[in-house]
Amino acid sequence: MTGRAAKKAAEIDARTDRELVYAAREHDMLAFDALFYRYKDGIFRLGLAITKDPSAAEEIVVDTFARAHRALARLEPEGSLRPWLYRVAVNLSYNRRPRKGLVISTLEDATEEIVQGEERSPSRLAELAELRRVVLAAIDTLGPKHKVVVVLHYLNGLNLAEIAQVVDCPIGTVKSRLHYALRRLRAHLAAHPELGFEPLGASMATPGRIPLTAVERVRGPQE
Amino acid sequence: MTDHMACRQTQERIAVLLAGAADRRERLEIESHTSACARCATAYRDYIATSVALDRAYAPLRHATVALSPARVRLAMRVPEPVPAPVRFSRVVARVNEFALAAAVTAFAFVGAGSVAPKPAITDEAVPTDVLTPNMHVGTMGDDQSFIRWFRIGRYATPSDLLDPAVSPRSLADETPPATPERAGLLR
Ligand SMILES: [Zn+2]
Repeated sequence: MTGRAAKKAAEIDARTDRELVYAAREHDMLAFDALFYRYKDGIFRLGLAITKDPSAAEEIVVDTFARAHRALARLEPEGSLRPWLYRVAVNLSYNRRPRKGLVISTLEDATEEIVQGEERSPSRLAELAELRRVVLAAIDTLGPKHKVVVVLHYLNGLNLAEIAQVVDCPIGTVKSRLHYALRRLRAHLAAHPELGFEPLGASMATPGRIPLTAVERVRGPQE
Repeated sequence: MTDHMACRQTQERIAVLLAGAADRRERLEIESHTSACARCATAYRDYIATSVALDRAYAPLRHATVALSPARVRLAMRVPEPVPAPVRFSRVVARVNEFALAAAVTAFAFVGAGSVAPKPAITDEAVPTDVLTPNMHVGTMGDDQSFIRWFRIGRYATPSDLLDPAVSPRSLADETPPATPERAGLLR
């Protein structure tokens, strides 16, 4: 990208999705490109988490934006265009014929962020990779409705209200699905105390206040 | 509300709390319930562990990027590529250059060719014109015609020498025998 094009892209980037959609509707290709660059990676990750196929995830990005381009005249984003794009991407991902035996977890992937501040010995890295494989396999046992909620929240970082927009259902339903998914995953992962699950017999006898620091470890400080 | 329903509701609230969507009242209710219920206290700890495990499992994927360009979308849709402004400007310049070149060639064809082409015959209103008349040189030739003739006979000759193709250039007459028309290259 030339300096002038980069400057133009930066100017466009400051605009809201709604402004960009309206500009793209008037055949402003750079506005459409700004939307593309804003959301392509998120859609790619979503497609990759569901299909586990990088080339399929790339096609999902292209198809999602091709549909967005065709729908420009009808799009009326209140705020972000993300829920609409992600809904298309989710549908495209599940409408694809799944390829068997694809696993996105690799040892190399696990070395990147997980072990920051931790021991980086080969055995520790292998252990982390194995745990990651176990968790991803557990996620794969969920049905599409529950898996999508997990992916959108834990991978894409959407809040529950945004997820409700993506899956087009009430927020109460999203809460129920998230709870169901956590319960199922907990049952799958309980066999791995190295993930932090307390031995069943020990914890049953110790009701009490859960320190909020534990929650903050997951979600960051609340309120 | 039965104990089972209260536990189920609390555990759903725990999931919501871990998703960052519980308000203060819900948080207090969770704390109140888990302080008295061992089963929900365990669920609370396990949901935290599950959430941490999910967070970590997706951590590498959270940084995945794709090297795709919007051109791929346009290619898929058969939409022409937009032309950046500097390229558009250079195309205008190129068009102007093309036009100027075309105009110059046209002008040369009309004006330049006129000066090189045989001059119109001296007009005598009484002389009827026929198809050959324009090609007959009656008057004196200009320098440009001499130059072309020079190209053909290999030397520069004065217009008078060239009037009769059979006459060799006067400057060479003393030293060399009269040139035959074949040698002068004027007959083919
Ligand atoms: Zn309970």
